[in-house]
Amino acid sequence: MVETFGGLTGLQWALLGAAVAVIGGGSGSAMGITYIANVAGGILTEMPDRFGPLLPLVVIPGTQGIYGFITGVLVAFVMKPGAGWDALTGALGFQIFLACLPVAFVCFSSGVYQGLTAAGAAGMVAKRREEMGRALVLPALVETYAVLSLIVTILMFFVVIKPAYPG
Amino acid sequence: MPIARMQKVSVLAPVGVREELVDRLHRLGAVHLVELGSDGGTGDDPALGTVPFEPETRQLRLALARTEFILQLFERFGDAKTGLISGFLQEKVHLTLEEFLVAEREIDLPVVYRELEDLDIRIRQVEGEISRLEEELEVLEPWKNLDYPLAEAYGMEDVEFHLGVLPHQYLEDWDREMESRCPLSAWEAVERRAEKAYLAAVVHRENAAEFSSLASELELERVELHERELPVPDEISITRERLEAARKKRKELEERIRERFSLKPKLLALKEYLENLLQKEEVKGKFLHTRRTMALQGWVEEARAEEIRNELEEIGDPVDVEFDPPGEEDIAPTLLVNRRLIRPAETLINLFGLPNMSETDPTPFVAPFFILFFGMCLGDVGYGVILTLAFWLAMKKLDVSENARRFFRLFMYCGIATIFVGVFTRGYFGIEGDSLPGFLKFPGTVDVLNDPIPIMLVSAALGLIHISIGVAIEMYDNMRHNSIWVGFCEQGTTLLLWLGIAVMAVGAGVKVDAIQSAGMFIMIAGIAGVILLSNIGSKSLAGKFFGGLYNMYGLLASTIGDVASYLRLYALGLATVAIGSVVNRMAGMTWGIPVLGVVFLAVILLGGHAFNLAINFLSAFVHPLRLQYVEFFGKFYEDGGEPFAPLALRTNRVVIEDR
Repeated sequence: MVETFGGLTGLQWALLGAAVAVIGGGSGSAMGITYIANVAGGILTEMPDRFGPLLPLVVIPGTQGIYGFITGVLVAFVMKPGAGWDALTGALGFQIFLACLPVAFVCFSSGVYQGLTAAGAAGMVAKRREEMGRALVLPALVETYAVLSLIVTILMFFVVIKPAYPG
Repeated sequence: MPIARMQKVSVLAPVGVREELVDRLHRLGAVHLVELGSDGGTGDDPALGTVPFEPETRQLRLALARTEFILQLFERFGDAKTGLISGFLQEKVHLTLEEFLVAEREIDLPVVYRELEDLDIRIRQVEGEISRLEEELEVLEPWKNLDYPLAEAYGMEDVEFHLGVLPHQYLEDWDREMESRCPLSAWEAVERRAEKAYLAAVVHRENAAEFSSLASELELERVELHERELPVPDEISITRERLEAARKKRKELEERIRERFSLKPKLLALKEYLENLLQKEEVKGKFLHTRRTMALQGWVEEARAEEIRNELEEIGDPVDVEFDPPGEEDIAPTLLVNRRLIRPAETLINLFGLPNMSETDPTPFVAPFFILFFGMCLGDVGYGVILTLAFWLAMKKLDVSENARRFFRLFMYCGIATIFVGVFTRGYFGIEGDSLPGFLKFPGTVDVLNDPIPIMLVSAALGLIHISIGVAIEMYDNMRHNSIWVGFCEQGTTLLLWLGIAVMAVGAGVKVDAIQSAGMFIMIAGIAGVILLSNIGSKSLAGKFFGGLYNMYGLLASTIGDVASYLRLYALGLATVAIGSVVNRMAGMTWGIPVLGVVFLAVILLGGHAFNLAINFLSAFVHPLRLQYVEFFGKFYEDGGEPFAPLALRTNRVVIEDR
């Protein structure tokens, strides 16, 4: 009989955490990229030569999805106990779930808002091509918080939860 | 000194040598001319009596506009490419300098222009005709069942002939009303499509007025084919034939334009040649003229001053050349001069904006850190090898501009850094640690996926070093411009504080209490320094203290924020590993499938790793750039430098081979 916490097994909690992180990061990125890609598409119909400088702006909000994905991969591959998933207690699984939450929430909101910021910066590139360097910096400021959430999630995994594994 | 020292050059010469002077300046390509005429020049000395001078550029502009028109025409009927890569790969024209300087003789522009302008006009006419005929066909098409001659139908004596389109739902009303109100008429629906009926009617004159009012009541959309004579099917086939003929005509005209494509290299050369002439002409507007003499002023690299003096004095006696160091109020343009090895990184500075002239050139610091950071964001030997080879080949084989080549070189260095970092992070196409051969796991290497702490600490430490260099540069500038003491107080104390933190961290790492407590003392000294000295500029004692306290608070917050920001290096490196290992696992799942398994395996591996490399390549460019621009430049950098742009031979798509 596998030990449960709040009615769910450790594996179930862990999967729930991984899923929430991937869903949050992925949706945030998808929404952010949609927004900036629409704006970039509009600019490109008028100025096809702006593709090069616009592309980095379009992909910037994609990192949040990757952070969510990393969290999912870490849960699936790395957080698996040496003795198999059955060895993961419900309480530990719940901790994994909690550790996934920073990425799930922050990557969602920062992905969306980074797309909005990038759209503003795309206007800069449209008006003056040589502003590309500065235009890249503005949306990258939003990214900081996504990075911080990923760092905290990873620290919780490796510094707090994993050392407490049985055996 | 990687920002070139500038000298101000002033030249006084007789008007008669103006052309030769400009020629020589253009050939030298070393003098950044400044506008002398803008303030009227002689406001305070009316005796000097300047002569207004307008450069004669009309002819040049006309010729240039014609060349550009032809090139655009070629582009319209050729294969215009716009895109990230093809933008770099615009075809180049290779010429010797001698060939370039006679570009004007190589082509008879007025003749070629007249021919192509004529072709353009005719093509536009034909295109107009094509769209007119297409519209006519569209109008005729629904009436194709009307197979009696229209001339006869319209020409009947007592009977009027009408065509019109009616929405289906009014058809019953139409039938009823026609019968009661226009008894001397007949009608027929010759075609029904898309909710509409196409009606043909013959109406006796007596009923004509009633028919008109009925038509407008039921919103009959009238169609007039008065100018047609034959039965509609015949009219349709005649129109089709005309359309075919017009299309053929267009094809022929297009073909004739294409025949002229061979002139493109000559036209490109001519265009850039004319642009240079125009530039030489326009620059004369910056000079100051009196009736007999002219004066010009500009900036030159100190190192080339003598060369310029010799070249200009060769013109003859009356040319007076003088060099002065920049004065207090002068703002010299900025020219970065770096060693060949780090020069590619200048492109990154240009992306942000050049430093102003009193600033330190950041290129020597940006270059190694950008390249290392890029390597950390990818951190995979396999991808590094691919990047290095790809950009090395691109640099060697592709016919691209000098600027593009510098970018390629920069990315080649980044590829080498990626290999270097990959060895330490055991990144080999994202293959997981357990499957790697043992000799790759020598001490000092880490498994990023399973053991993230060491690489995080390395990222943070590099970050602290990086921002320390930024503050140190600001301290150096401060010491140069103010005094050593002020530099120490305002920036040195921050460095002391960070040094203390670093020493403590090292002490904790190697578990030596002595080092740890030494770090503690340095840090306390730094904190005291920041609080007591950092606001040395304030006048009152209270201002110094509370300002310092405020600085301390700001410093704590910003240090944590800045250093945490460098952890993105770890996060992005992890992204490469994570995506790569998932690709490998997915590919591994296909192994069991008989026969087709190998195909799936190859497709997933190739596609997956190409995707991983592409997406992380972009991140690895954007994020290290942000670390340079925000965290590093934020500590010291002031942009606003005007780029050094001398009057010189400038080409874009023409490559002058012997220069």
